[in-house]
Amino acid sequence: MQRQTPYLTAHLLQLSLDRSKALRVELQRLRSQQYPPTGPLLLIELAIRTNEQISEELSAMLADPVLLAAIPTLEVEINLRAKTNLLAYLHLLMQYVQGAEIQYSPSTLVLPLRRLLKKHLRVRDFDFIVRASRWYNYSILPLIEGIQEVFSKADYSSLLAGFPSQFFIIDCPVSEKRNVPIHCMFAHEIGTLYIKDMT
Amino acid sequence: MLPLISVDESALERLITTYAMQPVEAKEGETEVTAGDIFQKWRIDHAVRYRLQMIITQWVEELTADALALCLIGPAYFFSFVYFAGPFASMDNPSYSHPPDRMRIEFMCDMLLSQGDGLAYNKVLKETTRDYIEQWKAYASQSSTTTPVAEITPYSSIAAQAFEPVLRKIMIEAKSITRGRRYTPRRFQRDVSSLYENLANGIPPNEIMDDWATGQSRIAEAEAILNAGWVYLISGDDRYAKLLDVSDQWTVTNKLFDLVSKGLEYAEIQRRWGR
Repeated sequence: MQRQTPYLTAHLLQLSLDRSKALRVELQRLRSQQYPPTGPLLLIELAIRTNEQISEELSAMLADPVLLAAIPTLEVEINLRAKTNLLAYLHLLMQYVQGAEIQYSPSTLVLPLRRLLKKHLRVRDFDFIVRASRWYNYSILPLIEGIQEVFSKADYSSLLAGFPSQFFIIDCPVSEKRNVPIHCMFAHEIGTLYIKDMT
Repeated sequence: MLPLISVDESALERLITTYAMQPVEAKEGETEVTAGDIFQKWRIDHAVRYRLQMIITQWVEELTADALALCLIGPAYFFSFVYFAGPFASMDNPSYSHPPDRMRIEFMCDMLLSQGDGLAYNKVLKETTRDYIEQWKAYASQSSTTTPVAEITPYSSIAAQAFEPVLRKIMIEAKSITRGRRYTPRRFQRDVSSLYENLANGIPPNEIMDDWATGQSRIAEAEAILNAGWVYLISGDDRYAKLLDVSDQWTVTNKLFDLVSKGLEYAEIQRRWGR
């Protein structure tokens, strides 16, 4: 039997939904790993929540006969692009979780580091991920501005409710992950946060 | 902090003139021209000054972050810096974002050991530890041993001279904004020697026995555990190596780091039990 036309809208929506489902499998795999508290799981949960919402909205669009009756309109294209761009961003965000697993990161330092940050930063509502990376250096990356911008552009800002107002990625070299005293280098990164916090 | 920095105007003028006289790449058959032939002098002047200002701003931030790190966790930051970065240190090759390591190391040694504006750790450090820092200071203070190759070099010499008067100010400011929350030499002195003995005897450094008669103990702070680990490593004390019956230094260092890590972990567990 010949497929009925127009078919392209349904096809594009289904392809996007497939991408979302593939991401769901990866996010579940990441969630099943063990991490030091609490940054990595917060970021994974945010990605899962967002992916679920995208998936639900794509399914709703697929069930809308009016939408499927025509080739994709500009409005559908913009809507779809916002969702798929966000899916790609969630995929990219998960790079910050890799290397943060308990067995790969200097996890014993995470709780003392949290206490140190709480003691010294004025902002109370923060979280962070410590991960071992291939970059042979120590660095700190504030992530929240990027997340807020992308979620806002895609009109998903409401999903950030409850997510910390500051979120940092702290990197250390993977070959030194066990050498906890060397991670005192983090103090310099906290110093840079301190400066930003003061200014 | 930035308004306190004044650059050597004559050196800066020389730099601007050098840039104005630099030949601009010419296409084949064209006459070679200099930057000064193309751009008005004020534009070159502005570009050079702007770049220098960016470098100085970045360097102030880096040195301030170093000073804050020393305030937050004490000498442990300096030890980790030279241990990690020492073998790779670009002593005289600064970048646009980072001052030369020679300047950073000398600054940190000064801040740790000096009285008054500094943190005055010289009073509480054991001789071997103090001597280690002083050796780094002597090494960092000597004039350049390598030939700087970075493109930034002409800027860095002007920036470095401009920094001299502000280094003390950076120390004072860092101490001032961490007042009351700083890891102090007094806390270092109170805890580190006791935790050091734990390490020498192969015991995780997670608690401090304040009163042996009553068995009253105190959970060690992470800062103290980390400092004890470094002080032991630097001391050359071989009791832990003998206990392990290992002569390879790398193995001993790794075992020591594991012991420090255990100390942090146990202290955290004790803290949770306490709660």
